[in-house]
Amino acid sequence: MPAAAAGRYKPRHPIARTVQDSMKSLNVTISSCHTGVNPAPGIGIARSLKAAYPDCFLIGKDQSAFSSGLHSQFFDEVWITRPWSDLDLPLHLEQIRQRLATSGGYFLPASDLEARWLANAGIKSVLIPSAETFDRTVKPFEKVSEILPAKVPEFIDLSTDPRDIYNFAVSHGWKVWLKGPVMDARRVYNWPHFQATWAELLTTWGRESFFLQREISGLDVTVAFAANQGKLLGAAFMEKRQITAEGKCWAGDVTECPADLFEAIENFTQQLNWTGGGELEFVRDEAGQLWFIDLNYRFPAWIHGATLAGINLPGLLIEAVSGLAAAPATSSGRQFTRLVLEIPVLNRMQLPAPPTFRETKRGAVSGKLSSSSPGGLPQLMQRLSPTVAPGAKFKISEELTEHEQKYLPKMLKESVLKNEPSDFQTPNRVFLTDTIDAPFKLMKKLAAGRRPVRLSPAYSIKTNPDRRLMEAALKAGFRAEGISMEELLWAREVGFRFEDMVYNGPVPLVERHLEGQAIHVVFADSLESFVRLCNLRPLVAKNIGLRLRPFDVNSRFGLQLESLDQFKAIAAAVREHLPAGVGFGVHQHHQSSVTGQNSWLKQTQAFLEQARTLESICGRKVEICDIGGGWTSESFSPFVANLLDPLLGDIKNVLNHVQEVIIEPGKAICEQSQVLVSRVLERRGEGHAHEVVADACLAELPLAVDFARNVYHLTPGGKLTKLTSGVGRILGRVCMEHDILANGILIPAETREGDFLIFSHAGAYEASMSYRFGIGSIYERQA
Amino acid sequence: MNDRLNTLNLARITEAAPGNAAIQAALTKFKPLSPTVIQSHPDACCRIARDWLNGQSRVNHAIAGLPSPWLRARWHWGPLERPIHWCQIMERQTIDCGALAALTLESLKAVGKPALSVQLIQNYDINMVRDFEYLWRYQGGDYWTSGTLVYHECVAVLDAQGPGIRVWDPTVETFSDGAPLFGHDSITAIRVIRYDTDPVTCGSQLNWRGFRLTLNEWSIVGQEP
Repeated sequence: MPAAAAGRYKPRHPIARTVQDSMKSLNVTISSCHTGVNPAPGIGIARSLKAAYPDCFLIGKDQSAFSSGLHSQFFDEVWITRPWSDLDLPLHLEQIRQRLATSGGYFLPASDLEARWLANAGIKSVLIPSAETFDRTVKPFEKVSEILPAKVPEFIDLSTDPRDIYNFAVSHGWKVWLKGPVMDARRVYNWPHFQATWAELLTTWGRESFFLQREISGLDVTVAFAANQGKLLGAAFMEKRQITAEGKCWAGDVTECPADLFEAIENFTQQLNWTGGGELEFVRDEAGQLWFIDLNYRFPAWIHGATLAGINLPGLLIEAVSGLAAAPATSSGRQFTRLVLEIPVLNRMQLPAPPTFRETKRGAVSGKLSSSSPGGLPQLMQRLSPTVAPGAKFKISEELTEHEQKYLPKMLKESVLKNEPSDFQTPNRVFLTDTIDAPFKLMKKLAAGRRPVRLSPAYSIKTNPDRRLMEAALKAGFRAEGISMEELLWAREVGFRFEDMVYNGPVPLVERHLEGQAIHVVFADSLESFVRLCNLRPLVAKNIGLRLRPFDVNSRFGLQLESLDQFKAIAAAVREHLPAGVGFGVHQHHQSSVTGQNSWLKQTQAFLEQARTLESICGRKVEICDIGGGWTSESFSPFVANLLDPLLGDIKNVLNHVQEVIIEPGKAICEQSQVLVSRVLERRGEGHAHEVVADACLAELPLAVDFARNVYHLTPGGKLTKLTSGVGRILGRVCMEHDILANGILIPAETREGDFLIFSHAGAYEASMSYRFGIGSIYERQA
Repeated sequence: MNDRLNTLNLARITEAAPGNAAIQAALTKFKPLSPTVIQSHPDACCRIARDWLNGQSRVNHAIAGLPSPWLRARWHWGPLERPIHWCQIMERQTIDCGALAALTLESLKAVGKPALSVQLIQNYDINMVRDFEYLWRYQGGDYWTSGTLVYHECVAVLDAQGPGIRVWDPTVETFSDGAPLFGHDSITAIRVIRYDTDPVTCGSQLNWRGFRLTLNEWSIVGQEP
């Protein structure tokens, strides 16, 4: 490889003057100088420029005396302004323009947001990408990644309907990041956390273009670069070796940029006619694939780490734009670490007064050290993009999906709109009979198929004991799975036989209710329960098994099988108590709707391996394996189509003597079988209302905050609209602080009192766990 | 550009250097040390312990991939007497790098991953070497130290194709492929061991971090202390 390309250095400016000539005439203003746990780049840029031009005159610009870097030795002058919230932006722009014109110097804004604001002004000596470059590089950077040898992790725009957002997060096991349009990214862990975080970010950044992106596991690597008018001047590649709790680099290893990546960045800066510093952030996964995570429109905070490794990018940039020769870069070693030092504050710029007891959101006057910007960058963001006028930038409605078109209009015609709409009593749970045909038929077909093991679907009674669902399950050949004697007796009343039933703890089985009959299989939730079940006579089950606790999960259910002593104790109980002629079974349950499909599969493999070890130690072979349930209605069909058969093969491979695998797709079958219809009691606010009060409450939707559902608005005239994401809320009818039925939703402007609000996915635990609340004792009187 | 930037040029294949007197002294001193082997009693006690380890290895493999750091979560690092049996290991809270490497080797084999024993000579700050010797004062103290050089055991995970290996250090739960080759906590010499009875097949030469290693022989890869 030619030396120039391999070295990833470009020749110096051909008309460079000597170092001595240039130094004293060089004047550079650098902003964002705070250095805390999440440091801004200003200090790093300043140190690098002092290394390149020891006598240059550097001005540190920031919005607060709390900006710690302003007090450092690297700045010759300090320019402190009002916080972003208070600045007269046009006046401030003019000040920048005049200062640069007077000094003949350059300005390196070191925050993305400030750079974005200044880009529109087009000041040549402000060394940043053009406004067009900002417009062409929009998060999550799909187009940018086409130029780079990197992929963009899957993402979903949050302007879509809530159920799609929820399913996206579930499909990735909630290993997802909520990212803002310009700055900020937060890991979110579940639906309530996502909603709270999103609301906070909307308030902080005041913009609506958020997205949710899959997390990539791997090593954080990043490339800093400098370019002038599209020409790449140099690049440094850094592996983060130590990161802070916020994910910011604390120590790193700098090398030259790999050749293929360097060439791609060359192409990138050329296509975007880039001027200024920049940073491309990646994650390198275990297979070596680069995933493009973020683009910064300025040098990174670790830029002086690159300078220490002999790659002085700020020096190269100033040399290129000024024609003034920089001192040759020298290397002190390729690895760097950060250090916390106390320095005296400048005499002429003392710290602000102590914070008052009253909390303030303005970083500039608060003593709380939090972000990289004591100057209050979020306020700048809000000023540049004032929202959050409800609905102003949200889509008004979503098209109904094919599934919704198939079931909803029919249901409305046959129930809500059947008679005079005002006669329809609300809140009212409406059964969508047709929705359950397909899943029950699918399971019936699966159970009838030829497989290495028998596949037995079991209907989880607790999910929804509605007779219509139970009868459909019976007709489809399901077993009934209960968690209490009452459930088993209810199943028998519906038509199931004891010998076809599955029982799971933790409630001990009440044998006298079985009237001497044996159920198909019972799984014990504890060793005590297992021993008791084994010793009951007559036998209560043809098969007796154990529920195993998910590996490395803090669950209250099942037997923990991690230490050798635990294995030995359980193996001894099985050996000594399980009667000959009674089959041995194992059971697991953890919801794939919580863990995500991949984690569920991993946990299931771990469960099988635990069972194999148990077989080996206790000497009894597993004959029945219950893999549980917990799929959402949307994820179950793909699971069946793509993963079920391979999984059954794995089960047979690991547990050679298994005769039957039980599967419990309760929620997957039930959750879309009912909708909750409610009425708008009160509409609050103008235009796209902030919120409405409905006549339903958490008693009818007890899991309202736990997962997403679609909400439809129906006028008495029959106009049906699916609501999209927004900043509105649907409040429940009762006086409980947490009675909020939907958050982050756009309430249409035409919503009126008496209109209907229809909540989807109300047919599983939303039905079985609903309760009476806020309606007095009217039911007792009726009884 | 500083030369140090090129230290990890993986395209370069380097023959082992002879090493200086300190390294030669360490090699001579560590010559009797062979990779740790965990013994088995003829009774069920050791079979059950080994079955459990293999089962847990497969469980952890399913959850966390390979090599899994679960062993280090189960056992603390510290001195251990020899010989050691499978059933005894399960009773212990603390085991040394050799036992951790032996368990890792067994764990990798349980999930079908070809792996070999690795012996390392590492260079440490002298104060840390003194700490090691103090910790091992009841087990002979300095039999595994020589000046600033110390004896260590790891595991080589073989590439699916070709002669490449990665070295997993179960004591610190990381691949040693990015470890320094000079200064404190650096790797000075490495030996990959394959016994005739070992079911793993590989050539007599292996590649690691740009070095060509000869099986069962010490290779000097780091700078002299």
